[in-house]
Amino acid sequence: MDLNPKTTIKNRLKSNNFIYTSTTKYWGIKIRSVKNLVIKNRKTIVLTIILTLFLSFTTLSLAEPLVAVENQNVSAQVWTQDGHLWINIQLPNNKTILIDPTIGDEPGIPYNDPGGG
Amino acid sequence: MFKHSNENIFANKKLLKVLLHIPYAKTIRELAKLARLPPTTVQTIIAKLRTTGNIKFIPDYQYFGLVNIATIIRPKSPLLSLRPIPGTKAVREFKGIGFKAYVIIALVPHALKQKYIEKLKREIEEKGEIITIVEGKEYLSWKPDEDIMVFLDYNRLALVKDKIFEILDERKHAPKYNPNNKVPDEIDLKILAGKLAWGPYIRPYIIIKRLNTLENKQMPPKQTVSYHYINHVLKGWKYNTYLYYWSTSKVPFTALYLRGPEAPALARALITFPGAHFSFVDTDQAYLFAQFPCQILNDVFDVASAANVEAPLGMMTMKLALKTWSPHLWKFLHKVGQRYEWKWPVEAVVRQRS
Repeated sequence: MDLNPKTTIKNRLKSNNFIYTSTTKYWGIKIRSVKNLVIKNRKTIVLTIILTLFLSFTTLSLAEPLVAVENQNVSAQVWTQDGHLWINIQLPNNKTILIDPTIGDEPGIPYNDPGGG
Repeated sequence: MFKHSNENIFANKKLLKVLLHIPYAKTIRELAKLARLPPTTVQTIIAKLRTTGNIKFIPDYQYFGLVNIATIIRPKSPLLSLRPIPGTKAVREFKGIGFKAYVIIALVPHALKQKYIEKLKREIEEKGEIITIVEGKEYLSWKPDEDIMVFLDYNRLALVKDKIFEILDERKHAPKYNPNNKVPDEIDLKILAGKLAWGPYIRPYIIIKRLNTLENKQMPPKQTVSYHYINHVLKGWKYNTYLYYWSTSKVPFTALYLRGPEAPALARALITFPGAHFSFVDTDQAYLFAQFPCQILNDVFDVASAANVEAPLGMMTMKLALKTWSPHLWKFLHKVGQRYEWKWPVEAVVRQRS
């Protein structure tokens, strides 16, 4: 038995108590088994990750763009004002779009409130 | 049914003390002083209250020159997708008898009210039909008061009901809206937007810090923020309130659109019932949002039936949604010399460029 006063109670328990050691063993086995599983099935895991990424990109590209513009006859101006970066795009149909990329789509500070009042 | 979780909460005497003082305290420390409890206890009670409801900062919108607008829309297609216009607070879906409706809540400067309505009409165009626009000339919100006791014992509602009938008889006047001519500055509006989003107990300096880091702007000195908060924002502070949320599977969120000469009086009366959240009162119409529990529904209609009011849409139930925005109000400002003016955010720049 370890009589050194510096040894913690936990360590003493570890050396004496069977249940304690058995639980640590259990976790040790579990982690090891998961690790083995991952190593064995490396190929399938990597393949599924690549497939999901590929599928998510294709669905994104399938979504219709909000504004369809041809590359010709489009002029753009970029400038800074009021601490924001502004982009002015002139479309072929003589309409202009003004974008402040720093504002974003959110019209305010988001928070939770069912009524919204 | 009503004995589920809130009875345990409101049976706590310390909690009730805190709850009744919430409207009058600007900070947690002040709340602790008023309730005669240690600040740490108050803090734990507030954390507990926030799990079942929301503590809200209620400003005097007239003082800031702002107005709340509720637009009720009947959509032409079942799904209405709208681009949020500056000033939008929330878009909610409601179901009535024989129809579906959307309610768009907005907070805009009174001077830009017409501009907002024009923009909204252009955005909706063929997607739906506007049923009505209710302007919140008077903003009402339920306030934890003596009637909080009815949370514990519904038999006491009878005593409170007489008071509610008195309100219905006496407060029939149309709401008066006199917007402040003085336009608030950027720091004031940032503090206000932060308080509306994050509750009354957040420090003003933290609000400015959070918003300025988002915009990559330099921080003003602490003293400047505190000066603006004490001398400008607090002058437009009315009270704080606590809104309790029942489980929506038991009590749905509902909205009432009231129309008629006594609509303001009825809105003022109904807002005192526990479960009422807020109301926008216009000259002869009102929009009321509430979560009236079944036990008091009979009493609510008792009062409502006595008023010279019609509810053309009936009682509408809401599809649960929580996302709300506290509008970037300071983006409506335009600096001219040392003063500020209200201007619609994007258009101001377009005019300068062209």
